[in-house]
Amino acid sequence: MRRGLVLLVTVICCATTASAQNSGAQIQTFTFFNAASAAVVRANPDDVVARMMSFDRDHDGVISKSELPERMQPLLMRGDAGLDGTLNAAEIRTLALGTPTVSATERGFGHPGGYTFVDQGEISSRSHIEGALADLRLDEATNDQARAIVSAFIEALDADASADLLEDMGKLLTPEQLADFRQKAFDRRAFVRSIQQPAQVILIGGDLGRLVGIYGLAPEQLREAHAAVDRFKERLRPADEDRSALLKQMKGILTTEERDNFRAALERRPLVKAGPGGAQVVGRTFRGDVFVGSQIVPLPPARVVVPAN
Amino acid sequence: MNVCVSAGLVLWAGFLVALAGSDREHTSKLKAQGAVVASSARTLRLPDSPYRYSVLNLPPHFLTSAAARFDNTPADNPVTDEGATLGRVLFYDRRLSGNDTISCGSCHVQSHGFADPNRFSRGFQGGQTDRHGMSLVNVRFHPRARFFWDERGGNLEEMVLMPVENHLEMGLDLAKLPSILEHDARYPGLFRKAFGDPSITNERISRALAQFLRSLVSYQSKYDDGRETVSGVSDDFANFTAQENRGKALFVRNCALCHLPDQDAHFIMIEPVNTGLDEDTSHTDGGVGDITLNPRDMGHFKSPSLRNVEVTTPYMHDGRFATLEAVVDHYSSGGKNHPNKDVRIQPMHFTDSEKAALIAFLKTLTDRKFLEDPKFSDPFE
Repeated sequence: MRRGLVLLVTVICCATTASAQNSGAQIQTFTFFNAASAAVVRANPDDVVARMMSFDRDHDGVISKSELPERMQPLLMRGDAGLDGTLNAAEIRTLALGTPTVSATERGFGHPGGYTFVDQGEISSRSHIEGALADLRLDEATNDQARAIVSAFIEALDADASADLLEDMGKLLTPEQLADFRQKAFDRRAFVRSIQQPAQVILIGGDLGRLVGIYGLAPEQLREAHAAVDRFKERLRPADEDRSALLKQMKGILTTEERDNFRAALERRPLVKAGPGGAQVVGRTFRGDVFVGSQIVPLPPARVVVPAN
Repeated sequence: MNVCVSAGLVLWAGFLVALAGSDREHTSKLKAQGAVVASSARTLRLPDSPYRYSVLNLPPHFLTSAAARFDNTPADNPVTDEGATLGRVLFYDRRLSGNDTISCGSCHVQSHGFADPNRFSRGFQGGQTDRHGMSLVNVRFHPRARFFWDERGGNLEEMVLMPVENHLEMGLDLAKLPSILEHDARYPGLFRKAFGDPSITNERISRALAQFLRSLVSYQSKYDDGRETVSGVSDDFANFTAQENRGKALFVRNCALCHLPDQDAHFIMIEPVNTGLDEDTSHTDGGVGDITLNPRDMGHFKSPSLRNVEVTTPYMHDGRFATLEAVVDHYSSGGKNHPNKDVRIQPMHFTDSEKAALIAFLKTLTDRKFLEDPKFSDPFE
């Protein structure tokens, strides 16, 4: 029953805002910048030259055909500009620089077609935490007890994060703007595409980073608004002390081994696929019978708890 | 008199043994000279009616549109019963090596999921490769249709003859291959059945071999039996133990993004990746990067299907891990910090019971029917 509604993974990351048309509704995908992508270090042409020169067994400064494994010998045909039957460092560098800047096989972090952490999104950690619990495969009675605790924990976490965000934004926006922000920030939709089984699930929502930009805030206020959004996203993820508190409540319900497994699962950061430029795959439901046909369905109501005015 | 006869027989037997030895040498010399070679002494056993390779009774999870898209069978070379039969004979024929000592099946062993049980493979002259002979299970369902650990093989039709002519692996001059087969009276008939006439060409040889490889479809594991009974892979399988179901749940949550992409049938990785096996970029195998020289490809390797992974040990491109436990430990740790390490390789810190559950699940991918199916076995005696 629960799995029928809870979307297993739900984040979307794409380079540009895009839209998808479904059932007459315009669906905005959201974009977020992932700081991790900027910090990615990749091998460079110097590494390629060093790698190739490691084959220079006779240390004459060039690579001859006999020094290369047979599978690599076609490189001589590609790169031997001097036609001397060898490759020198300059020729190797030219070959390396002549390759595409993005590998055909590379799927970078946060890049279209790549991957991103679920918790980089602006959504509840509900699916992650409930999933970690479900993976323990507890007996029904134990599971019911544990789920009740988990559910209360998540709702408190979400409500806390949402309340903090609205409080922060209340200091920056007019009451009318705040009401608009509240509506847009938490009015999210799940778009389910079941062209194939299992059905693919796409979470569509307002990009809070973009949303705060529509209220004409001064630069300093805008920076504060972005910081508030970052804190909101951070708060949606249980911190160490949150996890410890949750696990403490599980004493007497879960065995020591089950709690160790639960802790290990909670500490992991699930990854999902990022979309290549539009409304894209962000997860899948394995209850295809629930999500037959393309349709827009509301998110589970407990996903983001919006505090009362 | 009887003693004389016996002694004569012993001498004759000795002569025959010596002749057999010299015959192999002679064959090698003849091949080196480009001469024709007489029919192999090995007996070929084929059923009167060919095995069914062309029609598979695949379970529903193989037939979804998402799963079907993984099939790399080209329109101009579909698997036929007669074509795959010819491919099977070629796959196990040692005359595809320069000195008649090894066949494709020498390193790709059926009972080991068509992987080499040795860490590195031995070539026709005893030389050792520097990579592990990878599993051929379900190569049909690799949608990129690029093969070898470094993906240098463009498709199965192109790939199959590359080890044959490799000077370390099988060492045969491909220009001589058709004439070698033409002079075995059994081959023209096999080619006629497969392609309509007895003409033997390298193109037909590669097409037949590719058909046989595409027929190596494993789909009758415990996992497949369980998957058929539920609506989704996340549901507990009735035929699984509690530990296997738990391992499946852990796999789906933590491994499926890479190893079970967008469907529930093909346990493959779409693209080659760097899994953080090595930190050093200069002195370790560059994989795809050694072929493309693209810095971003350095240390990227193709991954075979996880089907039958229990028996395809050792693991990784260089067979560095002897056990599934070692493989799971690697991913649990998050690997080493190669600059190209894939972002999906994050520390998982699996607990001991989680590791045991994951391995229990991986073993449900073993398909005994496939591993023992006579239609994939060596037809020579």
